[in-house]
Amino acid sequence: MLEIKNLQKVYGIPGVSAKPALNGVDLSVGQGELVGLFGENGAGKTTLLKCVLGLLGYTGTITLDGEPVTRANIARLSFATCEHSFFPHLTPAGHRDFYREHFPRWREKRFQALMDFFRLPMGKAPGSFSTGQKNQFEVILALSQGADYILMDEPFAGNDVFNREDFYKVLLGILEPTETVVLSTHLLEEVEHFVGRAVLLRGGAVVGDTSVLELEERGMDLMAFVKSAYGYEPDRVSRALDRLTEEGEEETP
Amino acid sequence: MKKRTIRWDRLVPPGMNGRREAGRLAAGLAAGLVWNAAAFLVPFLQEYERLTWVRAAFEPFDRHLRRALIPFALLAGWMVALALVHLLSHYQESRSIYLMRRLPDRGELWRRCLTLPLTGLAAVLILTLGLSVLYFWLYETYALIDTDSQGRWYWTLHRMFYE
Repeated sequence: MLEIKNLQKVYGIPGVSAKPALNGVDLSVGQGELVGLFGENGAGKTTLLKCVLGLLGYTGTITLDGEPVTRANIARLSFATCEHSFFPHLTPAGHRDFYREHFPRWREKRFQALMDFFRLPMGKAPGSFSTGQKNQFEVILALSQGADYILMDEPFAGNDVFNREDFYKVLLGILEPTETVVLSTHLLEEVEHFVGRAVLLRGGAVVGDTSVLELEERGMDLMAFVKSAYGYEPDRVSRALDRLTEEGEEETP
Repeated sequence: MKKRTIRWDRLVPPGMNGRREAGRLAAGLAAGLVWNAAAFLVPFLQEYERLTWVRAAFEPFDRHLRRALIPFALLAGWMVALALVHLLSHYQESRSIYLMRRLPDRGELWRRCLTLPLTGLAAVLILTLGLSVLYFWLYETYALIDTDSQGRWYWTLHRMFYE
């Protein structure tokens, strides 16, 4: 179980230029869950994931099965980010050797199978891959690390729709019951059939947390849930357009 | 007996050519050494030829030494820059720093960023000290010395060996 309690993160200098990014986030993610992490730009999704990984300082507590995240258990977390965390000048074969050395539970067969499936060359450095290939390679590394919790931050930004569809299918096919995925993405309609739980962030706080099954029972889809949690006004656009066209009529003689 | 080989690529950030970097470092040290020797010995020998037979005092030792240490100062600066280049490489074209910072082995990032630069700095320091002592001995043995014009380094070495 990944437990996050009262997580707070402030960027900048307190009292001078402080900008709160996370405002007391409480979240528990159990083993085997597929969690979609949603929210507008600046809601705190990336900050949340980076705090879990220890890449940012924070206040609050983050534990893995009751233990703080330290060097002893950090290998249980993996990360795929749209910023890409691979070595751009090291070939996939070199990455395989590096990961094998540093992550004892490295999944060799899965790595090879995914590289073959997405037809990525083992001898060419990922710095020269296309954007879509870079994203694929990034996710392949995260999936092959042997982690229990796979955190993904907009991993498919730049991939075409067919590519993304293939990936969802492959992910659903290969993930084991003990593997947990936390996926931060803007592609709500695409991942709706992939995730089992939706967590919604706004202004650095959790404003919605529901299972997809519960939504279905309520007759809602994910988009409707996000809209209601965000207080989205559906007639806002039509009101604005009405005002604009009225102004246009006043101006024409 | 099993031959042990150095895995150069483990001494630099992943993707860099460790052997090539180590080679450049060695070449830099060799060039620095030649420059250092020339910067001290050439003027010193010229002074020896010119001044000894007229029994005139040589240029102060500190001035000779300062000239000779310029290449080593440049090498030291290069090592600091190299360490920075290694660290900053983890922010270029991707953010491999995210991977390095979440490795179970906390020392891996610093080992790869700092091993060659620190080795280079250590070599520069050893060469600086060793050659300073050698040049001091040459100066003491062959130069006509005006003790009133000598500087801090001369007296430091003098105290080390004679007091």
